[in-house]
Amino acid sequence: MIPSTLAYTKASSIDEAVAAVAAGAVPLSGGQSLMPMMRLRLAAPEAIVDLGGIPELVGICEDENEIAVGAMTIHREVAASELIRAHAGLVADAAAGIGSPQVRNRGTIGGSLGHADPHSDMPATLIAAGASVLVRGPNGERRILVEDLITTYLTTTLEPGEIITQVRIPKGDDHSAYAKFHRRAIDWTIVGVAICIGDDGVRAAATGVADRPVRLSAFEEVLNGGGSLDDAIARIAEGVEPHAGLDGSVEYKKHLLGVLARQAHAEASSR
Amino acid sequence: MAAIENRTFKRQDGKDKVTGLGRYTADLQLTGMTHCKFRYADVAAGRITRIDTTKAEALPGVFAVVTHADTPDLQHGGYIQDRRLFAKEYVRFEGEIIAAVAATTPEIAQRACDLIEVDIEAMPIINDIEASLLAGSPLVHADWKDYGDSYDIVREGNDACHTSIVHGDVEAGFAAADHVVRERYVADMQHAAPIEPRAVVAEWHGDQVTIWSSTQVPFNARAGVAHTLEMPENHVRVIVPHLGGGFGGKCEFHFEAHVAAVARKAQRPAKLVFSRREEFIAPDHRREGMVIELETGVKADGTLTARRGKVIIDNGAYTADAGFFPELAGMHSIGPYRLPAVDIQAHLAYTNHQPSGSVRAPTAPQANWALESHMDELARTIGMDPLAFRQKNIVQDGDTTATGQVLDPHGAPQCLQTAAELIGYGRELPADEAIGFAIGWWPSFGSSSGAYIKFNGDGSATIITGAQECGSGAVMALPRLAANELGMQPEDFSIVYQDTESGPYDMGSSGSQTTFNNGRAVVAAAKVLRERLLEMAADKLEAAKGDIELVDGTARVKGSPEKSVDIAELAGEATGGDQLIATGSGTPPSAPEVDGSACVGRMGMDSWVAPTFFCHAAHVRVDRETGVVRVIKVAAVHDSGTIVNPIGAEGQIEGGVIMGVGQALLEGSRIGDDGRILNAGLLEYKLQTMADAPEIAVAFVGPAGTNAGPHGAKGIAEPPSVPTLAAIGNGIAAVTGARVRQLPMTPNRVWDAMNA
Repeated sequence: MIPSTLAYTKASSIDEAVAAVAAGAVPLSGGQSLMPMMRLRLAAPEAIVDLGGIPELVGICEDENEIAVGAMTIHREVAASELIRAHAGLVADAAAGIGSPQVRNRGTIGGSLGHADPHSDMPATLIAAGASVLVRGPNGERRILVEDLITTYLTTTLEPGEIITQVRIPKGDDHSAYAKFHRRAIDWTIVGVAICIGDDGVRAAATGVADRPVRLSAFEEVLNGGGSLDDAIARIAEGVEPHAGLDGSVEYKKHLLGVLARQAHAEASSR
Repeated sequence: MAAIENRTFKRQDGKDKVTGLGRYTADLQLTGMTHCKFRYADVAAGRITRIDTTKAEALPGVFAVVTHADTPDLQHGGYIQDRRLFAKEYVRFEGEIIAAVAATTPEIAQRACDLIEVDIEAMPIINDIEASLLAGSPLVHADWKDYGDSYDIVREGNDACHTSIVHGDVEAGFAAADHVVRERYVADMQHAAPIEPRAVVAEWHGDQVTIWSSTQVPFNARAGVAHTLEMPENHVRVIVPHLGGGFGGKCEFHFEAHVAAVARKAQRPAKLVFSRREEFIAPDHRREGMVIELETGVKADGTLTARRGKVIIDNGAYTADAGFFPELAGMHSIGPYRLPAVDIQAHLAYTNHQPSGSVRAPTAPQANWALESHMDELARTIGMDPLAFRQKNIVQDGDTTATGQVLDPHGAPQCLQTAAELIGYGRELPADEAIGFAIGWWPSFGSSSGAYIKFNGDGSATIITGAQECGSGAVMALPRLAANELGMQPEDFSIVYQDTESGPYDMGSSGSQTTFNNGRAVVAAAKVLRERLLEMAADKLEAAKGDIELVDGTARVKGSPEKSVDIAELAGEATGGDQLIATGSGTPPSAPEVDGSACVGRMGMDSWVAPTFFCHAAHVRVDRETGVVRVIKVAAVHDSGTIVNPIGAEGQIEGGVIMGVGQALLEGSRIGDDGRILNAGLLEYKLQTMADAPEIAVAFVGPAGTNAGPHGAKGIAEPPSVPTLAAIGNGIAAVTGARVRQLPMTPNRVWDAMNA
C-alpha cells in the first residue's frame, strides 16, 4: 500500500531536528521500521523529519570510560567496530545478526532503540552492556539508561520533542554474548538472551519475552549470589511475561530463555 | 527408467526470465489504463443490508465502481454453483468481493474503496471444520439445496461433498488383527504463495474483451468470464504473459470477470495487481486444512487386515474445484498398500474460511503425512522395521486396489528399495539424527488437448498449442517431443502458447497434465508431418516411403545416408505449394475399470489413469532443546513412467521436495476466532529459503507407463510435493520417540510432543 500524504523535511543539525520533532514531526532514521509501518498504514505521521543529514549523529568514538556511538550509526558499522567488539562484543554480535545485509546497511542503533519493538535485538544487548542514551530536546540534553528507556510496545520515556543523539556503552573487559532463537536468518528474533559478565557481576536481559526488553533479575541474583547456572536458569522466567503467538507458546518461550541463557553464558565465559 | 533421446537445450523463455527482460502481467501498460482495487467484506460472515457507492463515485479520478448490480444475476462454480462475482446478500469469508473500483491511480482506487459504505449484519461464524458438520450447525449456505451443480453431489448440512470408499469386511479384518492402532492427525491450512501476486488487465474492443491474466488455466478463465458476463467464448480472449509461479493456486477462473466488468463500465482498460496480503486472503485456492482419523488392524507378522478412516476437509465458503477432494483424500488415506478391507468416509465441510482449491497435489501431502506417520506407528507397535513393514505391504504388479482397479506393471517396490540405497539406510547415525520413509501414489489426468505444428520455409517450425507454462515444462517437453518425431532438434521449434485465440482448448497448467496430454497432441501433429515429409522425400529420392528415415534434419534412405535431402529443402518447397501444417489432438487415455458399487459421492477419483508411485526418504537432525528440525538430505525416487525431459523432471522433483520441507516444518495459515487469517503476509507465514533446502538425490525407476502419455510418460508435477512431509515426520519420531500430530511440525510443536 502507499503511505498517506505527509510533509517531509531533512534536518541539517540536531537543533533543527529537535525543533521539527517538537513541532510534531516523527523522526526518520534508517527507515527500516517506520517506512514499512507507513506502507501498511499502521503509522500515518503528518510530518517526518529525516535525520540522515546530521553528520554529528554518525560515528563511533571513545573517551576514558565509555564508547560513544552516534544514534544514526548503522548496524553494519556497529558490527564492524573493533572498539565495540573489544568492550561489548555482544552488541557487535547482535548488530551483525539483525535482519539482512540490506537492513544492516540502513537500520541504525538509535532508530532501533527509539522504535522500541520488544523483538529488536539491540535494546536487550545494550541493557546487558549497561548502556545509556543521550537525548536532546527543547530543554537541553539528558542521559537515560537504556533499561529505563523502553516502557512497553513501541513506547519510550522520551519527552515530546526529544531525540536520541548518542548511545554510551561502558568500557570494560569483554565477557559478553547474545544468543537468539529465530526461524530464518532474516526473521525477527523470537527470544534472545544477552549476558555480560563484568567485575561487578552478571547482567542479563532478554528479547521477546515481554512487551519490552527485560532485565533478567532473578537469574542475575542467583549467579551474583554465588549460585549455580542451573539454579539461575530455574528462576530465569521469573517476572517475564511472554506473549503466546504464532511464533510460540508461553511455555516454549520460557523454555527457550533457559536454553539461550546457557548458550550465552557459556560463550560469554569463554571470551 | 525409460527415456527418449535426450540432451539439454535452452528453453525458449529461459533468457527472458533470468535476465529480467520477461514481461509479466503486472508489467503491462495500456493507453488510458485505469487501476483497479477491490472492496472486501473484511468479516467472515454476515448479511449485507446496505451498499452505498455514492462517495466513491464522486471522488475525482474514479471512472467506475462496480457491484453485483452491474453484472448478471447468476451463480457460478465448477462442482456446485455456490458463488457470485460480487456479494449480493451474504458475505461468507473475509476476502469476499463487494465492489471493484477503476481509477486513474491505485491510490485513488484504494481511497474510493474505503469510501464505499457497506453495512453488514453479523451472522454466526462457522470456524471449525468438525463443528461445521455437527447436526444443528448453522448453514454457511442456507439455501444451497437449490443451487445448480455439475456432479451428483451428496448434500447434507454443511457437508459440501461426502464420499466413501468401502471395500471388504472391515469388522472381520479388525477381529483378525493382533493390534489395532487408532490415531488422529490435524493439518493447518497452507498457501501456494507464488512469487508473483495475481494480476489481471482487461481491455474492451466493442463487445469483445482481451484479458491478460496471471492464470494457470486460460481456457477455464475464459469460460468463467463468458459464463458470468453472459458472453460467447469467442468474444473473450485470455492471454497469459510470463507466469511467475502458481503451484495450483492460480488454477481456475478467478478475477478476470471482475476486472473486465469494471473496465467495461469505465470504458477504459483496467489493471488489477494484488498485494501480498490480497494474495493470501482473496483467492479461492489454498491448501485445505484437514482432520484425518485412521484406525488400522495389523497382524504380528506385519500383515495389514483392515482400515477405517474419517477425513474432514475444510472447504471454506465456496467449493471452487474442491468437489473431488474427499475422494482423493480417501485414496491417499489408503495409499499404495495391500489392504483387504477399508471403510473411508471423507467430508468437505463448508466454513466461513477462504475457499480451498487445488494447490499442487490437493489433499495428498496432508493425507499422506497422516497415513505414513500412521504406518510408522503400526510398525513400531509390532516392533518391525519401517522399511521392511512397507516392503511387506506395498502393492505389486497386477494387484487390485481398494476401488477395484487392477494395477499395470509399476515400479512401486523399486522406489522403496532405491530410496533406501540412496539415503544410506541402516548405517550408524549420531543420536540426534535419523531417517524416515514415506511412500505414496498419484494419478495422471487424462484430458483432451490439442496442438498445431506449422513448418516455416527455412525448415524451422512453430508449435501452436493450448498448453500453459507454469514451470511445468511445456516450453521444453513439447519441442523435444516434436523434434524426436521429426529427426530435428528442439531448437528448431518455436512455441506459441498461453493465448486462447491461438491454441486449441487445454486444461492448462494443472493436474500434472501438460506433457501427459499436450505431449500426445504434439506427437500426433508431428506424426502427420512426418508422413508428409516421408512422402515428399520418397518422391524426391525415388525410394519407397517405408525406406526413408528422418535423422539430423534430413530425410534419407535407410542404409544409404548419401541419398538424402534436407528437411529445410522440403519445407521450402512446401511453403510454395501444399503447406506443411498439421493438427494433433488424440483421445485421452480411458479411465481404468473400478468397482465402486459400495461407495457414495463418486467423483472420478476412484479410477486412476497411469498412476505414479514414489518414495522419499528424509535424513533429519533434531535439536532436542529447541525442537528445530534440519533436513540434511532427501532421497526422492519416482516411478513416473518414461522421462521425456530429464532436466525438467529433476527440477520438478527438487522443487517438490523443497516445497514439502516448507509444508512439513514452516508453512501454516492460522485463523483467529473471527474466522480471519492471522498471518496473511510473508513475515508471519514462513516460506523456507534456499538456505533451508536439503541435499536432494533424485532417481527415476519403473517401466514405461501403460495407457499413459507420450512414450509411456506419466504425470510428474504434483507427486514430488506429496511424501516429504511424512518422511520428515517419521525421521523426527525416530530421533525423539515423539510423534508430532499437527502440520506444520514447528519447533514449538516438536518440543511440545517431546515434552507431552
